[in-house]
This record gives sequence, structure tokens and C-alpha cells, in this order.
Amino acid sequence: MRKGRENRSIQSRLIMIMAGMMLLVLAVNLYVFRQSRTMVQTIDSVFVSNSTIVKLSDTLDKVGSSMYDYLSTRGSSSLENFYRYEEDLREITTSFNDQNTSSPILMLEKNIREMSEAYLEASEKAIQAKRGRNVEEYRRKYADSKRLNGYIDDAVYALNSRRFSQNSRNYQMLQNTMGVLEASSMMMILAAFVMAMFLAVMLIRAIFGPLKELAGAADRVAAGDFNVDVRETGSGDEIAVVTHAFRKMLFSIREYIERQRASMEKESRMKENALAMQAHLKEAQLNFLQAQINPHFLFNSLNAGSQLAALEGADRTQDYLGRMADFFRYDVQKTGGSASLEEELELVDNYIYILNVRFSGDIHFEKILDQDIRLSDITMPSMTLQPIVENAVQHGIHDDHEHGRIWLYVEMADSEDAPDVQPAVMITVSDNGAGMTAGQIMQLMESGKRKTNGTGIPETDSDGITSGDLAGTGKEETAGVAMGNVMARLTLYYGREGLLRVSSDGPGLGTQVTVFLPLR
Amino acid sequence: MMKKVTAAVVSCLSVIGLILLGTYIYYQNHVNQIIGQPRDDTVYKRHYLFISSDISDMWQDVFRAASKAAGGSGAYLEWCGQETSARYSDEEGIEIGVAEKVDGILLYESTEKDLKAAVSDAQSRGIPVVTLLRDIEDSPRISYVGFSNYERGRLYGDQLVSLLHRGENKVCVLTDNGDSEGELNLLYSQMTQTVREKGADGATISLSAVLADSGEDFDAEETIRNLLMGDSVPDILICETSVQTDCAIQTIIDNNLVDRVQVIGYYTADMTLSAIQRELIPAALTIDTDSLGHSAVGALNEYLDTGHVSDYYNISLETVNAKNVYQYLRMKNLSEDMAGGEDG
Repeated sequence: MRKGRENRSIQSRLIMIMAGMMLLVLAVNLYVFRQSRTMVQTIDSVFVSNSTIVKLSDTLDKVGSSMYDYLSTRGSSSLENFYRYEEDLREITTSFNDQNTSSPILMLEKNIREMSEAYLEASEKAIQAKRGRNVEEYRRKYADSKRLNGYIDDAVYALNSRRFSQNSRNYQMLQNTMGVLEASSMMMILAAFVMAMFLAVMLIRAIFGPLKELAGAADRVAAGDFNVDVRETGSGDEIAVVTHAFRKMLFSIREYIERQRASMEKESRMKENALAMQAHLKEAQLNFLQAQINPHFLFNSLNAGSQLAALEGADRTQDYLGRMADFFRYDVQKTGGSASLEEELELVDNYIYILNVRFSGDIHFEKILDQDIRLSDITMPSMTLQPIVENAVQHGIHDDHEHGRIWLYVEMADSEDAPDVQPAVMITVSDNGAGMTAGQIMQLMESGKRKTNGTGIPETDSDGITSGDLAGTGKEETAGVAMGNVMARLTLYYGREGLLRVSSDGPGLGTQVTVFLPLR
Repeated sequence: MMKKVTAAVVSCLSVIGLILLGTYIYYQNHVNQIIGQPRDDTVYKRHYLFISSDISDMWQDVFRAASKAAGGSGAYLEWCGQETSARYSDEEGIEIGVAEKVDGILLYESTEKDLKAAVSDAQSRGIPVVTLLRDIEDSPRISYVGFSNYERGRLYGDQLVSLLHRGENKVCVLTDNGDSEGELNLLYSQMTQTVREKGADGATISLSAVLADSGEDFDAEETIRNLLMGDSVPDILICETSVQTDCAIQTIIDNNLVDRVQVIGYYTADMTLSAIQRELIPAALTIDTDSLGHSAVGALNEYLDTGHVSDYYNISLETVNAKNVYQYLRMKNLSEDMAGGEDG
């Protein structure tokens, strides 16, 4: 029942209230109309007694005149009239009082009733005497009836006067009552009007209050404020439906915006990532090009030198220059970022050969490869291993080439080595050189993290790979910078951290750098 | 909110309902009062007609007493012609009574016209007639209630004795056209006999009668004024009705005849009693109107109840003069108080 009431639409509520109001006003009007009608009937009835008396008087006259006509002319129509009016007179007087009472009016009625009977009796006798041609008798009876008619007339007049006097008093009372009735009717109509107005105002408020609230909320939404709250009206009408729909729409919009925001954030992060990677590469290349002479020019020049050495029959020079050319060609070709493990190892070999020529074969480098690993199938960021090996040469065994050793291991990482990057190829570059303190290792790793900004996104600074040793311009700082660069590129390339580890048993006890290349 | 609306609606409806109820009750009460006026009228088993063209104070008192007596015995007494503006003769009154089929008629014959036929007609239709104060001889009326002219003559004679002076005393008796010759003769003879018997030294009376009321309107006043302003002014004026008494008193006052004319009045109307108290007139004869009214109604009741009734009910006459007027007034007031108490 309650639910049914709550679910009324505006239309049905309006109809109900309007119908209720109209019914109320109708009822009040009907009541007033009925009272007025009754009052008019009462006023009519007040004077109906007078009209009856007037009718009686008229009928009495008609009986007298019809009797006189008959006695004068013996006309049959007069006789018919006489009997008809006689009947009328009897009919009227029969309704009169026939009891002896203390009321003068009622006693007058009784007297009229009785005298009318006597009058009709005398008249009848006069008629009969006329018909019997008894002249004396009908004249006498006519005289009797005439006198009686006079007595009745007097009584009728008296009754009429008394009735009129009484009716006038009653009429005055009715008029007073009518005044009270009018006043009360006005009050009732006023009360009904007040109630109708009140209900109309309440209804309009009930309808337009939520509408206004809804409009305000829509305005705020239009202005871009989606954090508006529109209350449910609970009225179950059309406005409640619209409000509910608005709330749902608002919720959907908010959800959509949230999704869009998250999606854009992700996309932006990815773009930033890619841009950072590209920037690192560009930066590395730029730094390399700035640090070195143009690799192309150098590569072409070295190729020309190699051909010249071949023409002159200097085979060792030709090999050296050829290796040099290969080294720089690698740099030129691998600017895209990816290279196979085999190519990386070849670059390391070229680098070591060049260094050995430079340092007269003092660099002791050894490669230990797992034969089961197909080196050409494994891709990795280019220029990864060479900087690590360069680091081992520059900082590990730099001061003692004679005894210094560098080992490069390529093997499959087991679960103990890298439990979170399985399966992976583990490349370890170790030396027996200067070693590092824990603080130095931490500083080195922090440098790598700074490069990735702790979020995997590399910072774009001016640091980059330096093959300063090749040019003989290496600095102490460049080691950390190069390692950091490698670490950052590995993180960007594989989308995860911790793929490069540095360990050392302490100063003078060598350094071990391990790179994990995830296979998935 | 909803509660407020409901409360407001209920309040408005209550106000309308209260007005509606109040108006309805007020309306019903008033309209019922007007339309269906409560019939608290007393219903009587009989209807008597009182016929008297004399509407003086005395007859008013008689009617009042008779009406009360009739009401007490279950009868309604109507004064013929009082409700209508017409004035009817006694004969017409009886005819009306017959036409109205009344149960009985109380008749004070105020005209000299013979009413025997009318009384007979009424009687033949089963309507008994009781005559008051003035009898209709040889009529079939069932009873007469009044006094005898013998008694009245004696009382007038007593008063004359006390008023006569030496020499001739002109005594004038005012009559009306209802008085029969026989009754008047009896009255005169009894008056003169009483004067003779009680003796008045050196005084003689010269008795005359003047018809003061011939049935015409204002006849009494004109006749009395002419009489007292004429050449032969009576020494003593005897009135037979209260109207005559009032006229006589007014005339002697107006014409400074108080010491010249001794008026013996009739009935103790207020003006008459006042005149006696002020010694403008020496005395007045009066009757007990209560007794008259009661006896007349009683006679009718008895006849209708039993079929027979006494032929004559005597009503005593009384003389009120300067000596007993105060006592009479006390007694009258006392009896009026008692009557009022009974009515209340």
C-alpha cells in the first residue's frame, strides 16, 4: 500500500489532488446549495398556508357564484361547476384541523372546516329545492348559505391574517438563519480554498524542489564538477526516475573519466619510457661521437689503411686495422639497440685484440662458453658487454696488466643465481684486479638506479658510454657512468631491474660483474 | 514534511467539518422550530361558544373566568367574533355556533331581538344554550345563570335611601335594548318598594328610564352626555352596565357635576373603584364574575354529562361603597393573587 503510494506518478498525484480538491469544493457547494434549497423550500412552505387560504377563499367564491348562477338560470354547466367547486372546497377543508385545541389558528381552521360543511349543506339544499321548484325553500336556503359564506369569509380573513402574521415572524427567523448559513458557507468555502492553496503549494514544491536540485546539479556538471550529489527523492514519480537516471549517468561519467585517466597515465608512462630509452641511446651515441672522431670516417679510414697494409704486405697491420674497422663498424651498425650475444662477444674479442696490440699483449682475457647455448639466438641490448669488459680493464687490472686476468663466462643461470629471472643466460665478467669496497659497489649500483630514476625510466643526462681507453682519455668517473648506463639500458630493455650485479671480495681481490639475460 | 501536510489537511478538514456540523445543528434547530413548530397546544374534547357583543371589562372578566373553568373541564371556550374583525349579532352568533357544530353556547343577550327561534334551532341540533345575566324567557335554553332583578332592585333601593334628600329626587335608570319590559318593571317596583319600606323622611322619588344603549356604536356615551347636560338633570343616575358607569363618571367629572349628580355604578371596573375611593360616586353594584363564569360552564358541562341541569343558577350581587371599597379591593387582590398562583 505504502509502496503503491510512493510510486504514484506526478500525473496521478496531480489528478488525485485536483480531484480531491474539486470533490471537496463540490461537496461544500452541494451542501450550501442543498441548505439554500431547503431554505427556499422552507420559505415557500411558510407561505404555502397563506396560499392555501387564498385558494380556499377563491373556491368558496366559486361555489357561491356557481350556486347563484344555477339558482338564477338552472344552467347545467353552473350545476357542474357547483359540484366541481364543492368537491374542491371539501378537498381543501379536509386538510384543516378538526380538533378542539388551545391554538386560535387551529380553532379557526376547525371552524372554517365545520362552517364549510354547513355552508355546502345549505347550498346543496338550495340546489335541491331549486330542482324541486320549491321557491320559498331555495330562497331561504340561499340566504342561509350566503350568511354562512359571510361567516366563513370572516373566519378565512382572520385565519389568513393570523397565518400571515405568524409566517412573517417565521420568515424573519428564516432570514436570520439564512444569514448564518451564508456566513458559515463563506467560512467553509474559505477553508476549502485555504486547503486547496496549501495542497497546491505543497504539491508544486514537491514537484519542483527536486527538479530545481536536479537543474542545479546539471549546471555544476556542465561546469565540469562531477563531484555533485543528487539525493534520491524516493517519491517514485517521473522526477525520481530522472533523478535516478542522472545519478547513474553521473556515476558512469565518473567511472569513465577514471578509466581514461588511468589509461592516459599508463600511455604517458610508456611514451616517457620509450622516449627515455631513445634519449639514452642518442645520448650514448652523441657522447661517443663527440668523444671520438666520426666512426664512419674512422671506419672508412681504417678500411683504407687495412687495404694499404695488404698492398704493402704488412699482414699484422692489415689484421689490426681490420679489427679496428670491425669494432667501429659494430658501433655504427648497432645504433638500433639490439644485438645478438654472439655479436657482443665478437665486439669484446675485437676490443681485447685492439687493447693487446696497444698494450703489447698484456691483457689476459679468457672466454668460457657453454656450448649448449646458441649465441646467435640470444638478443640483448647492444654495447652491453664491451663497457663491462672495458671497466674490468680500466679499473680492475689497469695497474697490473701483467698479472691481471679477465674471465668471461657465458652459461645458463640456475635458480640459485637468479630465482626471479628464470630461464636466463648468465654472463659473468670477472677479474682479479683492484676489487671494490662495499661502499664503492653501492655507489656503483646507486649510479645505475639514478640512471633509471628508480622507476625503470632512465635519466637523460650527459653521462654515457665512454670508450676512453680506446682513445686513451679514460677517467675514473666514467667507470660508474658506463656501468650505470648499461644497467639502465638492461632495465629498460627487459622492463625489470636487478639484471646486473656487481660483487667483490674486497680491495685487491678482484671484481665480478654478472649480467642476466632473460630468455622470455 | 508529509506529517506537516497531513496535519494541515486534517486541520482544514476538521475546520470545515466543525463548521458543517455547527451549521447543520443550528439550521436543523431553527428550521425545525419554524417548520415543525412543536404542537404543545392542549386538545379539548369540547368546544363552547361564548356570545356577548358587550366587550366591557366585566364581560372580559366573565369570559376569562369561564374560559378557565372550561379549560379545567376539557373544553375550549371561544368568544364569538373576537378572532374576526366582524361584529355579529346574538342571533348570528348562535347561527355561527350551529354552523361550527360547537358543543354548547354561553349567551349574553344584548339585543331586544327575540332569540327564541335561534336558541331553539341550536337546541334542536343538540347544542345546549346557557343564558347569562339576561334570560330569554320561554326559550328552550337549558339554564340561566345570573341574578334576579328583584334582588337588584332591592340593592338599588338601599342605596337610594342613603342618597335621597328631602323633596323630590329625580332618579334616572339607564337601560339598554336587551332589557325586557317585564324585568325592568320588576326592577323599578322593587326599588320603589325598598325606598318606601326603609323610609326617607320628606323624600320622594321620581323614577325615569332612559335607553342608553340602543345597539348603535358609542350610543351610551352620547345619551349620557345629553342627559346630564340637558335641562332635566337627574339627582341620582343608576347605571346598568360598566360602560354606562364609565361614561357617567367621565361626564360628571368633565362637567363639574360631581356634587350635583349621584351616580350608582355597575361593576367594579378600575375606573369605578377609583371613583368610589375618591368619593366621586357613592356606590356601585357588582357581581362575582368568577362565579358567573364558573357556573355557566358548569351548567353546560353538567348538561352534556348528565343530560339535565338546573334551570337557574343564582349569582349574588354586592354593593361597593366608600365604606367597604378598601376591604373589597383587598379581597379582590387576594383572590387575584390566588388565581395567579394557581395559573403559575
